[in-house]
Amino acid sequence: MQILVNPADELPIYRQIMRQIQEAIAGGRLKPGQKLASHRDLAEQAVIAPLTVKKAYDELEALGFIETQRGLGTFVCAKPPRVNLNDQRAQVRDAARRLLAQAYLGGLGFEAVVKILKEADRELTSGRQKEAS
Amino acid sequence: MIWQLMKRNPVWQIMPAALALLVGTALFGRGQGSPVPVVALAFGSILTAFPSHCTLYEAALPIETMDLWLSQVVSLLGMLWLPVLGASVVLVAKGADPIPVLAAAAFYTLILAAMKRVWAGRFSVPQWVRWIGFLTIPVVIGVAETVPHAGRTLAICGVASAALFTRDWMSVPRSFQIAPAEARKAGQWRESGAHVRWAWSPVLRSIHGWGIWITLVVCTQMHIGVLAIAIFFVPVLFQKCQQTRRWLAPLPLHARTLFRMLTLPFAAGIVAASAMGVMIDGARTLRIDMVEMASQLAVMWFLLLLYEVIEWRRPVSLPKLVRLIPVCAAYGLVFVATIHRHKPYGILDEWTRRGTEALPQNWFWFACALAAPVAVIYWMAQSTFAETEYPRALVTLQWPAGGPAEGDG
Amino acid sequence: MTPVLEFENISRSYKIGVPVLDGVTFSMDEGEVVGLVGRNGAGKTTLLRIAMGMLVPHRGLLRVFGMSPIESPVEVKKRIGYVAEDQVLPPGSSIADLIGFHEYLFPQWDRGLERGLLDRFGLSRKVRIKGLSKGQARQVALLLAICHRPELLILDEPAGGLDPAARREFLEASIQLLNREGSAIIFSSHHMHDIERIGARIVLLDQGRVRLDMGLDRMREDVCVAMIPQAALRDVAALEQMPGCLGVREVYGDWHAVFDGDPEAVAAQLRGIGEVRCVRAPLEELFVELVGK
Repeated sequence: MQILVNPADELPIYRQIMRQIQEAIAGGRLKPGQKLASHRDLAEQAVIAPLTVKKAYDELEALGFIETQRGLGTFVCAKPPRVNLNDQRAQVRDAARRLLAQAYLGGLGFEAVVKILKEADRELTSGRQKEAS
Repeated sequence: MIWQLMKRNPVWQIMPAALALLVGTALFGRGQGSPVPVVALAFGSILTAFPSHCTLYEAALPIETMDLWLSQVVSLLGMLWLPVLGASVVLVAKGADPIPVLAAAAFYTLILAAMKRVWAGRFSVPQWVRWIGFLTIPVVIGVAETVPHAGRTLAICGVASAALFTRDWMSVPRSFQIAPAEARKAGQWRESGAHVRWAWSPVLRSIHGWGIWITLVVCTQMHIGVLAIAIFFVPVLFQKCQQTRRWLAPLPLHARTLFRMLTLPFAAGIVAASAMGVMIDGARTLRIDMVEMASQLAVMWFLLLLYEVIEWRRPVSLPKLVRLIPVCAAYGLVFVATIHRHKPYGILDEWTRRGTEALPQNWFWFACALAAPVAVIYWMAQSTFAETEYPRALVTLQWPAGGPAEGDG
Repeated sequence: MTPVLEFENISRSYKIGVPVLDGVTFSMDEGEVVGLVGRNGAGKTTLLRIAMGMLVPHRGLLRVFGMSPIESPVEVKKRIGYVAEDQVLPPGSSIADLIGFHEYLFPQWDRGLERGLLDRFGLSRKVRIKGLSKGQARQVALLLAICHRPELLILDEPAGGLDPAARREFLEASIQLLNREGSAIIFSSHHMHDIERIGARIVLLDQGRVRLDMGLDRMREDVCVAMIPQAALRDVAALEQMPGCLGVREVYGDWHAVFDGDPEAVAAQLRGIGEVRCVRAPLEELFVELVGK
């Protein structure tokens, strides 16, 4: 998969990589058991330091999204990680607050936000459904 | 390693030209010791491009400083001695005495050894060192006729340079330094005053360094004015023209203003030096001095004109070698005139005298006869200078057969 | 494990009484990538030239691969690659000439890497240096510095004056070197985005001293900028004394303070002052806040 990093972004580069990989897994673009590029190859492709990529991979491995098999490479975990639901809830609540603030500033009401959420859900899962069918 | 470094030294590119020049002078020259002034002119000028002890590129490479030093010294000595030995062989074959030429070469070896000692541990040499080479030219030419014991000079210079080179060799640093090892006292460089003296002072200061004036005065006083102007001052002036044009191009200046800025101070210097000469020699040689002054001005502007022609838009499609012909011919003429004279300098001595006698006795007509050609040459040089800035000719050629369309141009 | 580069209390002046470097101390291990940043004139080039042996420090201890570059210049330089903004390759030589010369000087020359880089940069071996553009000449300089597989790569504003695509190619070649050899890289630049891409550690030089020496990720996550309106703050000195404060700067009447800590924690710490906003900032903003006027 392709990773595009933006050094000017608020998130450090390794977190951007983590987020993009997590989104890809969530959206079905990366399937369980699929092999990821080695950290050196990804570093050359995205023009970032190999240690940064390694750090992202290590963090994802610690969270349980990917696993490294010696000599074979790095793979997406077959089973999705067991997450701490409270942590997830707090993060999602934060994201929701930011989303609503942005929408209200833009003049959109709550109903419009719900409609947008439904559209985004469709986009995110359409990839997975296409694979399944 | 040393061979590898020597191969890459740019000095070797000059060597064939110097060899041809000196051997040619020895073969075709007449009169005693005639290659000596050419040796002085050639190597005095070459030394003004004295290479630095070490460039930033070389400093980053894993080479021993001793190897670098040796390769530089061997290359410089080769550039000096191989042409001179060639000329000496020719002189011996002709039955003439090679010792004066060898003595001149030994003198330049000594100069070289001395120049290498300045700022020996640093990357580069100070600016004033490069002028030493040029200042030797009039000295060597002046004493070439009068020094009787060339053999003794050869020996003394040889021993002294060997001593200096040995001293240098023993103190080559382990690594060259890009800045002086000791911090300098604050305020050692004079900071110029805040008040503006004259609007044009930055331009003049960047073009005309103090070194040129001293050498100009020395050369004109020793009657090698035309030769020195042709060989040294015009190329330097032309190069400064190119450099300042880049800086001044975006400013709202006429090209001819720039031309005047560049050459009139020089012309004033020549006139001033001639005036000095007249005051020293007295009115006895006034007419000859004025003719010499006029010829120096004419040569300066004429050679600048020829240099500009190389870059002219119209002949620019011709190969560079063809465009260089006028300049090479002019220089060839100057050289041939020099080496065919009985005296090694004062190239227009005979011709100057004859020309002066041929001119009208009446002062008014004399002045007109001198001023007219000089003014014409000046005007042509000034227009050429302007022409390369605004190539109207090129635009004409680009118009289609039916004439200019609206908006083209 | 010997550190690759060790500076200990290095000092150097050009004018008496005006030190350019005044007690710089840090060291680099194998495989580390350090971004050396600082304002123009902060001493970055001076420090890197001292590491190459081109300048003698007036005080302090310097070790490169455990040796002194002034005493054993040739052994040290055999293991270093150096690219500088003002380094000029001999203009009359062709690329093949220079490659031949470097192959002779550095026994560990890698021909495969050389061919790959020539292909990638699109350069022909026969071209002379004076026929190349500035960017291409800089690429040749990088090729010559990398192909002998140095253990330490010193880059002194290598991308100065290059267009973004050329800068990116430069980074790609450096990353390739990192991948293959695990070389240490010390990289001085004004392009913060480039440093963010390959740097792991930032050393900020300010007024001759190391003002900041921190891992890049920690800087992005654990250093924040607090924006304090003018009316809220009476005593700037007290703010500067607070624990974790790295610097305070006035911006059009308001104050920006850089703090070492989480934005939420710092906001809590400063609650007593009034309406304070704390945000994380990219490297360029942090640089301006710390050393700008």
